[in-house]
Amino acid sequence: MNHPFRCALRLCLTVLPAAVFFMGCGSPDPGPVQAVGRPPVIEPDYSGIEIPPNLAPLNFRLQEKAEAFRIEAEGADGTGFRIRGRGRDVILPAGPWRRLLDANRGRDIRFSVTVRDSLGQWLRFDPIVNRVSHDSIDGYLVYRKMPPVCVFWKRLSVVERNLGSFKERVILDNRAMRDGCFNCHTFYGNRTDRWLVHLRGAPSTAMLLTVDGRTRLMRTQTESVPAAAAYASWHPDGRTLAFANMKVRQFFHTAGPNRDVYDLTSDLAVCRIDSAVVAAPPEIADPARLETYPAWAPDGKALYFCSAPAYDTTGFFERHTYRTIKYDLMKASHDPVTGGFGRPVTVLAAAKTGLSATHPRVSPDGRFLLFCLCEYGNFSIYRPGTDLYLMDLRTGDFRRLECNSGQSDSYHSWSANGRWFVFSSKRGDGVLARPYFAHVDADGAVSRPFVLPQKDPGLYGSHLYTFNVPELVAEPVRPGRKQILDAALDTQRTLNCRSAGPAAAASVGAGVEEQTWKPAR
Amino acid sequence: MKTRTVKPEPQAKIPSAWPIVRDAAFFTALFLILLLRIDPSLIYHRQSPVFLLAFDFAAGFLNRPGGPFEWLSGLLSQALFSPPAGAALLTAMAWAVSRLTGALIRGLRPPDRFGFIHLVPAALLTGLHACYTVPLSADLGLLAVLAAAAAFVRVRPKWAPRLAACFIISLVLYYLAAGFFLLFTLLCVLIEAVHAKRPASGAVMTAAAVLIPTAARRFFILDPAGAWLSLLDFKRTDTAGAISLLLAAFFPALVLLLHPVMRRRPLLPERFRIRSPRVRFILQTAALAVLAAAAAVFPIEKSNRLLLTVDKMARFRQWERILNLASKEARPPLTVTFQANRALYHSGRLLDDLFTLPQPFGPSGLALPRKFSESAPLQESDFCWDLGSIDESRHWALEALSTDGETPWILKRLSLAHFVLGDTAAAVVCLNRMDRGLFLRGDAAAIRRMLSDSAAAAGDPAVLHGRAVIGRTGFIAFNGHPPAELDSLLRDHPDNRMALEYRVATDLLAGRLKDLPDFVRAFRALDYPRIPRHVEEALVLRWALSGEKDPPPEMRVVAPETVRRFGEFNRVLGRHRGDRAAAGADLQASFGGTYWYYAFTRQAAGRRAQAPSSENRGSR
Repeated sequence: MNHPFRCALRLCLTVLPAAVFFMGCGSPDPGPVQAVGRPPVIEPDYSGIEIPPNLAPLNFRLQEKAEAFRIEAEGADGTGFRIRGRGRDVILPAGPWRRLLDANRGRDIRFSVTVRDSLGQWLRFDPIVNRVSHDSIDGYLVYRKMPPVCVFWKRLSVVERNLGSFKERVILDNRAMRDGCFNCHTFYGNRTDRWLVHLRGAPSTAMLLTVDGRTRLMRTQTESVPAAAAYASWHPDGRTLAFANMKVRQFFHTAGPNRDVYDLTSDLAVCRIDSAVVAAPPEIADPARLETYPAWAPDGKALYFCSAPAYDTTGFFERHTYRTIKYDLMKASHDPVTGGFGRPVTVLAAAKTGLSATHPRVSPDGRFLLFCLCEYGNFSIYRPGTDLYLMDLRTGDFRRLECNSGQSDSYHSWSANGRWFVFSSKRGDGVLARPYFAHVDADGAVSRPFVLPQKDPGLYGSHLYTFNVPELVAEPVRPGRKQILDAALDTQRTLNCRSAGPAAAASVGAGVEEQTWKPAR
Repeated sequence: MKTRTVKPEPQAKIPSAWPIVRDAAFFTALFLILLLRIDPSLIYHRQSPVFLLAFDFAAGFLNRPGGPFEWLSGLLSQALFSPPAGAALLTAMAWAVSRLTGALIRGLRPPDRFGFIHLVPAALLTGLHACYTVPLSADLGLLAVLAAAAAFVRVRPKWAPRLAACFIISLVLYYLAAGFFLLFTLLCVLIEAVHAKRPASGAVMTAAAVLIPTAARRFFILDPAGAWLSLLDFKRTDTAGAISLLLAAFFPALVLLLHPVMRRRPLLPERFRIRSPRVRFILQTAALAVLAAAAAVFPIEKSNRLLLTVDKMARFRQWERILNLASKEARPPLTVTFQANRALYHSGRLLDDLFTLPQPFGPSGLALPRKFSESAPLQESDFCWDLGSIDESRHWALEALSTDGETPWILKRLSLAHFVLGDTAAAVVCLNRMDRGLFLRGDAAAIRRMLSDSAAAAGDPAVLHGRAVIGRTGFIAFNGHPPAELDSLLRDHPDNRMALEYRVATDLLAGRLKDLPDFVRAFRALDYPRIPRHVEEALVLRWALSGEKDPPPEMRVVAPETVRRFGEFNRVLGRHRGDRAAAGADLQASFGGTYWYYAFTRQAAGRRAQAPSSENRGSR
């Protein structure tokens, strides 16, 4: 290498980065600083929250008249970092952020914010104080990203987000799937070796099922279970699925909350995936009732679900019958050996609350049941009054959580350790759902929720896509997206389930070891 | 192989300025055709190209092959909003295509100038834009292919550099232009196999072309067809698909035509060959002119152009212009009738002149039937806004967001709907999005002013209208806005004139006359200066059909002239003694624009078409 070139390279490698560094830190040192006497307003609101120690930086935008800012982040142990910048967007450095969280597990961290206003005056705000949790959160969040639509779904994707960074990975995109719809991705125990997603319309109406990292279409519709599967739940044995099968109808109001949904019919069914046998046991498929939202208890010995009496469809709209459909929270015992169900018992009656119960999810330790209560019906994401409730299964006591808002707070998922849950909330604007996280301690106390952090702190303020069906998983989704897409498009290899028949319906698939499951390689 | 020898041509040359003048005239003609005949603003209206200066917007394009050109196409397409700028842009694209075609031809070393052939793709490209549906990414893809091919033929003619060039350029081209890379590979293969006589090299290039999309599926979410053919319009079965295919086939054909063997073979028999270069030049130019005119004019489907024109006028609320256009159509498409009826209402003439325009039997020309509204959700949103279903207007705008993306009009409609419905935070999200648009900041600022200044909001006609008619009690929205929905709107706001007039028009079109007295009372309550003409005509008809001798009370509002004209109508009808066909011709001449004539023809048609239909069964 000749000498002038070496000099130029040295200049590039040393002087320029230094220049850039000093330019970046170039805001003048604050002279006299005026105390404001309150914490700064920031968006998203990351103040007074509990943070998982493995979460990406909580970038935020100052909602103050700021031309420049200085942030001092400091942990209780004295470690921390300082940043300066212009404008209002505060982008926290990933490395120091991780070190700060690591060093302060179980302790508070403080963010001291000083800003320079348009007159050149420096203003110091009271610090923002957050707490770093001892409990980690699962490494990934999988959600559906789409415009807030009801009829057409042209830009629909299932996205995996690395919670330790800002990396997003598209798992499924319906533009590559003939604009078909898909919904309710469901993972087995926060893992990704077994999971499913329901496809609708195109490429086919079936369940896209992944078992041990291999994916294949499975059609659960049979004579006894005519409708396609929805709202599935994995039994802890990893081989049995409970799901709802219903005829859904959507309609629109011209005033107030616009969208509405009701089920004409709805039953639960059970599918044994290794033998591809489907059954609708009468205990959970009562023609006189509408059963939906199954959720297994972690020990597999009970199935929680929601159930409402079937109704008369005469004058359904004129008499506002849809407003009277309210779901009870139910539980049916289950014998994992025989596969049989016991008579369902009411866990929480709609008559008691005056509200409709949806989306029961039991915490992994079996202690808590997280569910929604809404005004009526079962499509709680469309009802602005939907709130999250937590029931202590040891005592049966339940309470409305403090993390609720005036808008719909719905569709939740537990972390593998049961100390965090994520839920969809429309609190931002009433239209677009965003994923919020909250911590639950051993006594069921729930922390103030916070929204999924983004690299661009202004993203939620100008992003017209809704994030729904958030599911926490501990590992990246498997298999690769090419294999998933190929399996979704390979309708020829769809595995058609067969009906268990009336005799076997009461004990679906118990003892059946017929290996018909041959996933695509 | 024995080749025929051709007599050397005389070397009399044409003046050097002639080709320049011809090319200039050609592109001037293309510009004028684009500006005056095709109208780039209709392409903009049809495609509603979206472009936002936002990272997440760009990221949505960069994650798939062809995305970069789609992003660039979105940016460039903003120029189509202005007809002169759009025509200039499309002409520039056509010029660039012709220049690069010329460069490719020169690279293949033809014996002399190859006539006007380099202008043919430009004419075809213009023809493609006359279909209104082809995005600028097609132009960009073609330009990239031609630039790459022109570069490729200039690479040292050894197999190794050519292979390397083909592979590297294919990779880049695949990411930028997706399926267009296939055309480049095909050209490379032909050049190598036919011109350079290296079929093995061509085979390796073919293998690379197979390999690249296959490998891409590991990195991008692509179905097999998408991996190979995305951005290509060959899959289409319409005119655009045919022209695309022709355009794509042109270049391989050109490469074959320029092969030394083919070059020596005369295209025409000896006796048809024109010796004089000047005559040949003039004939070529004439052929070119015919080709350009045909390519630019032939693909335009009249009904498609009419539909786009009317739809664009409706978007800008140019009601009189719509009525002018619609009145010239004997059998307009249903969607044109729909917009024309909307224009009649906004001009205050719906119930006076409804039957002066061709109407389908039944109310399907008043409100779009379900399958139409699903294919045009934004138009349905506009209509719902006019009608007073603001919630439904927002719902359809959200559906349009899914089908068409974040177009300026959708963002504006959403922000206004959110604002009127009181969802200010949602409106702000839309406004923040509009701030990222190239030409939307002004609109966003105006709406933002309304958020903070109630006086500004009170001065905006759209907001004023929205607030005046916003639903109070709420009811279930039905498909196609049936009478029950209009009744519900009227119950909420008895002063909702559009709901009232559409309710009356629905009944008139359906031949239901029983509620007319109620409508007369409603007109009086709303201080209509007079009863609309068609309502008067329907009242007279209702009285006549009732068989009553004495006129019912509501007949007091009917002008005597209307009664007299009805008598005349009956006399004409009676003259023909049951010959309905002959009576129809006579009646149309004198009463073609009356409700009586509509009722007469509707009865003649045996009430065949009461259900909404897409067919254009006009009453005239």
